[in-house]
Amino acid sequence: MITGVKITLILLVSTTISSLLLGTVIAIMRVSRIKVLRAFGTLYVEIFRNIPGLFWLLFFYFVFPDLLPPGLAIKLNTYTYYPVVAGIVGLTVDNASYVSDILRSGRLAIPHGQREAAISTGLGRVQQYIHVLLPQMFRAALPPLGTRMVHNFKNTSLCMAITAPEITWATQQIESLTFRGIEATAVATLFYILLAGVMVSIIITLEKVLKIDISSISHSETAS
Amino acid sequence: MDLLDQFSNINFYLFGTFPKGEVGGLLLNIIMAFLAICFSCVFGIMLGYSRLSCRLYIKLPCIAYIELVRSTPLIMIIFWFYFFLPYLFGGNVTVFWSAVVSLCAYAAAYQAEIVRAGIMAVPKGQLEAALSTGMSRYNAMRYVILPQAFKIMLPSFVSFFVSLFKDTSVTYIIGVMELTQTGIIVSQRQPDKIYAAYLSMAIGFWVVCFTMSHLARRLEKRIGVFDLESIRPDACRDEFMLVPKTKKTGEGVDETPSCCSSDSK
Amino acid sequence: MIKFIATNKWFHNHHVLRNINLEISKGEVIVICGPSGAGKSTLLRTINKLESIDDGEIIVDGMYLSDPKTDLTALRAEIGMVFQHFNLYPHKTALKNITLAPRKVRGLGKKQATEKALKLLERVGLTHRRDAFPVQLSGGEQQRVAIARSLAMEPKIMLFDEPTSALDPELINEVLDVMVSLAKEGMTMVVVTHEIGFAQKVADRVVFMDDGEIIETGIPPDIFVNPQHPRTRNFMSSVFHIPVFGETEEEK
Repeated sequence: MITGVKITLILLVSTTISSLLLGTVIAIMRVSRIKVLRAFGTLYVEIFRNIPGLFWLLFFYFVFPDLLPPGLAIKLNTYTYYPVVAGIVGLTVDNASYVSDILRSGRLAIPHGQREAAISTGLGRVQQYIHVLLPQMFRAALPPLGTRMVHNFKNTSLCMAITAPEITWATQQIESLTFRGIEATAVATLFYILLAGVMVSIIITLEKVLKIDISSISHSETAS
Repeated sequence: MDLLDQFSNINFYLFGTFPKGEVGGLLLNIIMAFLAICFSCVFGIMLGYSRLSCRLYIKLPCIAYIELVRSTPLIMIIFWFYFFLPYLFGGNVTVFWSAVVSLCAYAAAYQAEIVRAGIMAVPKGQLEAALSTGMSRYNAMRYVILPQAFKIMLPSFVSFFVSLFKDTSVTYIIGVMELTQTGIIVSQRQPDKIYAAYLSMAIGFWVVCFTMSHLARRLEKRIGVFDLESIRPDACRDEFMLVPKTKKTGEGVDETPSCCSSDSK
Repeated sequence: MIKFIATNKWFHNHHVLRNINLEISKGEVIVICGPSGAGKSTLLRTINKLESIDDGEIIVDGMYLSDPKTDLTALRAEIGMVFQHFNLYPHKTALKNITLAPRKVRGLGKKQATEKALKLLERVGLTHRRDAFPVQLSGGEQQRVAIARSLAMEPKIMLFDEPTSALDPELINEVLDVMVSLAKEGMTMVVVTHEIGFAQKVADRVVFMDDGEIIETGIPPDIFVNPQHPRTRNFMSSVFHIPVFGETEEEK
């Protein structure tokens, strides 16, 4: 059970980070001026969002190694933590499609003037994103992004399907070994509720901090 | 020939052993999603509406239910009902119904949040205007608030339905013979057909979800002639602190404002 | 018709209505003015109980507002209210906005309600706009529809909550004209407004409020030209020094 908690946390942290990264890249692709990138981004989202996350987990666990050269496949299949790795990859590709969608609408919400201002101060394309657009995208997208991340956290439970030893899987093990399924499920549920609560409160604090940030900026502007 | 052979059991994926035996495959996913949507809609609207009640003894249980369900993974909820329903109904609950009930309980909490956000997004002045023309609270809700709220909620509802449909795949865990389960079983019994199995799963879910989200976009375009924009200009944000706050929850709930609606622009 | 007896109201720690005593008789037109945050709108909204009061009593047409047995729906049916932001129902046409309450509350048939609504639309000069949706109407038109909507219930009292302050200056008069004609027909009206011209023309009494209190009450010339209380004088001089008449609302 303790290992379960550990694995769940590993899954949570790694997928949160990686899906944020991947999602940002896809989001930028989707608002890009280059047609091919835009088409690719759209294709990615259309494919990954319309197929269940569970499918991607199963896919990366069962099918993906088969697609590789045999030597590598055997290595992967014998690697003890391959279920966890497959879980991370599967959850990431699924979650990233949502993240990119949220960030894209965050990007569309930024007034045109922001970019123009950035251009006119001589910022390059990458700098525009890093200094001007991305911070605003994340700020605007924070509430839905938070909800998404809690969702992603809950989705880590799906990894039991590919025998990643996270907490839900541990619950099932306890049940089949000791037949004390209800107790184990109760403990696991409690764990999920608590951690989700912690996540929500972190997100709320983050929102508050960022809001103070914004108001203090506008305040100093009016003062000066 | 080889390809045809790969897909020889396409029927399994689509509707299981239906004419002879039980319904399964994609059809079962659709049936489960449909039942869950129907039941949870009713439940969700009631829950969402009572959550807005001023009376604490109505409001608190609703909040507790919604928050608990929303912070528990679907898989856990499925387990709970899998364990508990037999206690309640004496052991002869099929996995199918156990799955439908859990999906329903799960969906209701999310729909309640959508309903609440929708109602709150209607400017408070609308309710006041209706009340001050002497309409009763029920009439005001029925003719003034809900029609407006419904339009606000519709996109979130449909994108939630898409995600609920995808979530029906999770029910394989308790052995419902739906598309995912079929795919897994086939791929394990006939490892040579593993690609066909996974391809059928992917295509099956994709087609249904894609169709649904496309329909949703069309619906939004048709219905959205005078939706939010017509409410915004006279929304009294300064007077009602609730409005901006709600909007945030609203976005949080639907989390993905219609996946690609502005692509076409 | 309306009687406030020692009314008090708090928003948390903020004392928004301080010991209000006011009597308004039938057919009277009362204009309430004062700086923003003075509690004018709150006072108005207590009359049809969109805001409740914490202390004291309000009697409207013989009904005691603090009495839980008072039928609020029936009370509100007798009181028309016009809002600053119009609050037309965006999903219904102008005509349907007007017919909704008569049909659902008074139980009028569709034909009757429509006839009545058309008469009211004619009265506010908007017959040609009957099938327009609120978004398609200008602010002045929306407000006139809103007035017609309230009148459709044949109210005994009309409340106006800054009906012109969300309007562009050139649209204000079309709304005020309707209000003036209404006043001349003998409707009991309570109006929160900064339109001094309107007040001088039709108001029987002007109530000046500041900081939740009624500072001064009197006939328009007294209050506007010759106010007694220094706070009133202060406010009036600041209002009159602003050159353009229609732009006295610098509230926001």
